[in-house]
Amino acid sequence: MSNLLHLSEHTLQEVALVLMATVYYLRIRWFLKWPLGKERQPATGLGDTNPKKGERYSLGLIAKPWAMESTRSKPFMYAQFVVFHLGVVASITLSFIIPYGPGLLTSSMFVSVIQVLVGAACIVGVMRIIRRISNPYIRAISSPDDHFSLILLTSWFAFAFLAAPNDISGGEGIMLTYFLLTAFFLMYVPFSKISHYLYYPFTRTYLGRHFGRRGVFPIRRKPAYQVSK
Amino acid sequence: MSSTKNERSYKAQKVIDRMGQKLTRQMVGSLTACVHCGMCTDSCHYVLANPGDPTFAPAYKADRIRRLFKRHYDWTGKVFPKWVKAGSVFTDEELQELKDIVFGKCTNCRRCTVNCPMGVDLATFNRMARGLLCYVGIMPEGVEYVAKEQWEIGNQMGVLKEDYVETIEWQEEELQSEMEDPTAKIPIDKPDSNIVYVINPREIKHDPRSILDAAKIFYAAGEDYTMPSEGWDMTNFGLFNGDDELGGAVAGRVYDKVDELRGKKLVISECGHGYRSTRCEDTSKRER
Ligand code: SF4
Ligand code: SF4
Repeated sequence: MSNLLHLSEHTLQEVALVLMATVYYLRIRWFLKWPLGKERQPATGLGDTNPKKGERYSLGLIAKPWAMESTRSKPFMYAQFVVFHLGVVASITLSFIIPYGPGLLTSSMFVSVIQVLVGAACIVGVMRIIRRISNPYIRAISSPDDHFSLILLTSWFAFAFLAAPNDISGGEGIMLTYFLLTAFFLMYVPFSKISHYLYYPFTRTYLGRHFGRRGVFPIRRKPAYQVSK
Repeated sequence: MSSTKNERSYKAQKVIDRMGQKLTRQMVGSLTACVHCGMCTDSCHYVLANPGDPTFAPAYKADRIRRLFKRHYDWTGKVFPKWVKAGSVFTDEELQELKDIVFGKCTNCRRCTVNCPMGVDLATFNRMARGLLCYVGIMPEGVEYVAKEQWEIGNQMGVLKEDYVETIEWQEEELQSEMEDPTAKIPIDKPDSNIVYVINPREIKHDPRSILDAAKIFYAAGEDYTMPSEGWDMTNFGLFNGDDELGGAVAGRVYDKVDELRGKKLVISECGHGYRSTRCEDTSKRER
């Protein structure tokens, strides 16, 4: 292994991670400085829910595609979401396995699992790029960051797919590109919309608390007269 | 006052400054977390009613407000404005355009909110944007007129106290004749009643028969109730123009009168928004 590859697998990733963590810390600190909005109306609803129940329901919605009309009526989009995010997890995990636990990659089964995950995510990424460009509604709401983030992730998946066997016998180009992309990705994320997951627990908790207090969450699937208080 | 692109109009500057005072963490979360996935698009009735026009998409409308937030309150937008579609307002004409979006293209119904995987709540910051524009006197003409009446006269149709009282007395006479009971009453400002009954000014101004109908029900039920001579308007245009102060003042007047009359319960007549606004716009934190 060349020094350059060693550097990009280790030092570069560590620097990128520290940078990412620092910017995340600053972002969260900035976010938490905003005053929490107060509820103005008294608690409402049938009494069968409360802010805590609302929070739990709201946070769990992501795993319940049947609960929201948008995901219920677009199961294919929901499946894409799952595949895409599993790909992110797989690719990030791979960037740790290669330098710190390469033994795992001697199992062809394990390599195949990683490749299926990132390969499927890459296909979804391409589909999403096409959708972002061709769907007038999505195009109208897209920023350069939206386009760039998607292209970045999709290319990153492609290189993760190629890097998964951890074989540099044919040259270090692929591995080097994968780790450079990973480092760039880690440093870019906090500045881009990819960092949405940082806010996700907050937005969902606040919304759940609010709707729980108003008797809206958990959404009721039976008539009010059948609800026990 | 309008201005050129480089210098900001007085109103535009006020809107930007006030935004910083009105933002809450919940709003900032919603302004920051949108991933532009478009999952909320079909949930908006405006989108369904205007097929093929992406400017009605919730995220598109939200971005008209979001761009200001990013440009002035989020450093990603300060450092890379074009990259994250951040932008500002400079002229009163631009504020008018924003008005057409926040008042005219969104009802704050929250269907997009409950369909957003990220939990982005457009309605909350759309209301804030309405309030910012209202603060500098920019809002739809009808809303402006009605809000002014609520501020100045105390009810949205500018009904004077003597006209209100006269109309109730007229309905009381109708009640006596229909019930064939000369003692039947529509009590005004009767202290210690079980119910304080408040109404929509439309009933006084355009169709007082609904007051008579309610009076008949109270009569038949033998209810101990009263109508207040002031603080009787349960409609609330603070809910619509985003003016928190107006919202609090109008709802507060109703509760103040209930307290003054030592009424036990507040009953609100038919209205599309009156119940909700009376319940939630009052900021006094009193028990109710
Ligand atoms: S508001 Fe929510 S559903 Fe709509 S585009 Fe943004 S993240 Fe997606
Ligand atoms: S709050 Fe309602 S009207 Fe406004 S954008 Fe969302 S769905 Fe459309």
